[in-house]
Amino acid sequence: MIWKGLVGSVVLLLLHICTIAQEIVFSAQVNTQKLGLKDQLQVTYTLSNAPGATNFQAPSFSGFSIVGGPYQSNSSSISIINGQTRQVSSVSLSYVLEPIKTGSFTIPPARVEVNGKTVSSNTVTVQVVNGSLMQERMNQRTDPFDDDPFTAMRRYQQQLRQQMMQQRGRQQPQQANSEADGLSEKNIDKNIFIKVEVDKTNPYQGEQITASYKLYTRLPMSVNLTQLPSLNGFWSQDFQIPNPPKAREEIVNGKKYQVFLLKKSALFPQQSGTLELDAAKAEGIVRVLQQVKGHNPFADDPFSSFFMDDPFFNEDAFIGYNYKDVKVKLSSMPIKINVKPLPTLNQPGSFTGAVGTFDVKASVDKTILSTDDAATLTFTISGSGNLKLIGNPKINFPSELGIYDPLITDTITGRNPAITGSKIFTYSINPQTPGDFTIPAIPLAYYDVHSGSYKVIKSDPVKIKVVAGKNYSNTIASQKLPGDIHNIYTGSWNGGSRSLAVSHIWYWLLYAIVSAVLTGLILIHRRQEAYAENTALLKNKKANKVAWKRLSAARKLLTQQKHKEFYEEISKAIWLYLSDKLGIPLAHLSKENVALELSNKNVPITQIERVRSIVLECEMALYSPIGGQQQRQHTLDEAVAIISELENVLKTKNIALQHVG
Amino acid sequence: MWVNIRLKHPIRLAVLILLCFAGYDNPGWSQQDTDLWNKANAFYSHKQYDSALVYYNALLRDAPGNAFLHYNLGNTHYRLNNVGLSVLHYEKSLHFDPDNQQVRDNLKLAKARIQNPLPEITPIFFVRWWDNLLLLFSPNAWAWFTLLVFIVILATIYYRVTLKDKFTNSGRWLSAAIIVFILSSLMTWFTFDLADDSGKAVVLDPSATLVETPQLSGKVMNNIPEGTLLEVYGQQGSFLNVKLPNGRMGWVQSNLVAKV
Repeated sequence: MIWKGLVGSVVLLLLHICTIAQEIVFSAQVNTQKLGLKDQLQVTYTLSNAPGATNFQAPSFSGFSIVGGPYQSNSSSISIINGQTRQVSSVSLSYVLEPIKTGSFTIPPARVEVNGKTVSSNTVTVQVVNGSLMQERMNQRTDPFDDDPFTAMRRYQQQLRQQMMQQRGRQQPQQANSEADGLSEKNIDKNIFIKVEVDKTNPYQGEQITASYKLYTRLPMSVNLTQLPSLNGFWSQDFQIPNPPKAREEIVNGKKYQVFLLKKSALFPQQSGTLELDAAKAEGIVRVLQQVKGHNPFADDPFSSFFMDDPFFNEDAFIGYNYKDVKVKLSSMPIKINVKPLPTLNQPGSFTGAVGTFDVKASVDKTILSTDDAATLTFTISGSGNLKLIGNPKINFPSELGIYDPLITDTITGRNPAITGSKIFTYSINPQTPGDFTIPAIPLAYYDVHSGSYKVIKSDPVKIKVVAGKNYSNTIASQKLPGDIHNIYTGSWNGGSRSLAVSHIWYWLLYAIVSAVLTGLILIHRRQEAYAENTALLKNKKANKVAWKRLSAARKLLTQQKHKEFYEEISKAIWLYLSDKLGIPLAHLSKENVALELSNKNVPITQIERVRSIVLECEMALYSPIGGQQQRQHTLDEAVAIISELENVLKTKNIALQHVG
Repeated sequence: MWVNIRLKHPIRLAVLILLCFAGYDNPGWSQQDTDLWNKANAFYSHKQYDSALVYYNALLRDAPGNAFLHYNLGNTHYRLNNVGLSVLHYEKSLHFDPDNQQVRDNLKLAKARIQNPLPEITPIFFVRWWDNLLLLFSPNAWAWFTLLVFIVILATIYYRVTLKDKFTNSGRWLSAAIIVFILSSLMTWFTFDLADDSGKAVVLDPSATLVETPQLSGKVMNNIPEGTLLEVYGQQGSFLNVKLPNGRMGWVQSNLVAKV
């Protein structure tokens, strides 16, 4: 804004030097050779080694109007070279000029009288074009993407200094008289200070307050910020401040100040209680005015005598101010903020610290996916308030979806004046089980400062269909970790430990017992077998005798004429004999198996046939007794004969078998 | 006829004997232990894990081989965030009761709490098969099976003696039974050996390290996180020769680990 105004700057330089044998130098310098119509030009006249200089005559600045100055500054230096002491003192005067029209202008020389001689300065040629060149240069020097606060601050300070110079220059003609007193060194803290402004000092925890750090000044200055406020206990979000800085005019206590905004932040208290906005500090040089009129600041300066006589400095319109650079340390006053805790009454369970006004939305990037796939659930909180301080929402996800901690992104989109933006929770979904799932509505509870109450908003529930993927199998599903351990075994105490059978003697005793049982059984079996064999042998041996007994009984019956009994006796003799000899029980004997058995024992066919016939005869005779005594005698003889023959045949066979065995 | 009756007899006898001994398998326990058990469970359910731990440990003296006791102890240590002890007791519980899925689940959770766990390499397939075979039946099952096969062998011998020629291929049956008997005896021995000593140990001290030689000054090869399951191959002095889950062999101080 200052730059838009046209300011020229002229430096008049006066000097008086009393050092002997020093060369007098009187020169004119400009800060730029080419300037725009809207720019300012600063011309500085420097007079060195000219003590007793008087009668400074400023040139006529044709084509320019004087908007500031002259500003005087004195300097001196002492140097010792080859044992000679040299003192160089110089006086400089500067003017600030604004061009009136375009074109090329030559500023004629200024004159000053030194020891009776008139000394002229050089001439300076400047070119004035349309527009503003300074603005362009300024812009070129300002990197809008440079976010180093101190670099930015340095540049900013340079700009401030220049602007203030110009600003002062512009104001000077109108306000010179009235303000000259107030701008002296002793009032410096009233003329330049840093002030912190907050819009609230009694916020709720998490409620936004806006703090502005402002530099108020009525003086030209070159100030660097040395300490930015650390803002402990707050989440802060800085507002963008204009770059290049723009000064605003503000009237405080009836005085006009140039105000520069140093820092503006939205602050969100993170805890309740008394928090302090600590000071912003700055250091630099301030140029204070010293009024020469009426009282000569150079009274005891041996080189300053020419000011006294100089009619130029005695003119009211060109009051002879000179300026002095004063080092200053500026610090803002700390401000206490009383943070109220949020009401605990009616605080919803889903409250995670959000204060402001918000809206929520939940969405997934795909609603149908397989167990091999992954999807993304996005839960967005948008609105204004302490976005960064909002905790993770409490969501009861179906455990089968395999959702873990979210990725959180904060985006601030607006700062006008409330911080607005969005907080995005990104959950990755890795389903393990197919099925239809619903992600429940996600609630967000926040404290609305305007209505002074908690509000709960909910997102819409999201449905997800999971199908089995290629790699899905039940075993994989069963391998997933359960959420918590299974509970303890609460059944009744079942005593000691499992005992191993092998470590007990009784187990091995069982083998012994089983073996013993088997041995016993085999022994018993053997004995039984032997016994059975023995009885058969005995019967075989006795068979002949029994047969003979029966046959002799039959012989008696024959003499007694008892025919029936006789045949019975014969039949019995033969059957019993065969039974014993063949080892077949009597009940099982028949003519057929007898014949078979006898032929097995290699009994000749003829004898078998004779056995058959005699058995048949006996059977016949039992039912129809025919034939006479002679016939019966013949049967008896036949029976005796066949038994004897069989006895012979079977005996030899037995012996033969025994030999073979 | 009587021979058939006789044949059934030895089996009946064996069954009778087994039944008699089955009673012996469950030794009596005192009322005191039951009280301790109930108290400990009550403390656990009221989340007073410290107290529960005291009672469970008291029970441990009487019943060091109770799978359920070790399971509950594992849970208690899990709640108290003693990762090493929790893994140890779950492993012990599994050692006594390898089929319990609940214990396996909890062990998995306990192992998930191990800080910086070592990667586990799965053994070669036949080692896995062998391990599974050993876990398939308990040593007692193998022992009873061996006895049964022994009885079958004796029965075969008996039939062979009594039936003689009528029992065809008796020799084949007998040799088959004997082979089964030998295999079963071996399995009984292996499973018994495993049950007697699992050959595993759990690291209880987070500062445990795997050293190259069984000396305190031995070169450190690996840090072993608390709760890691080690395979123990031998002991020398106060050092155990172990294999880490990642397959590295080395020595570890025996007072920093507990055998399962």
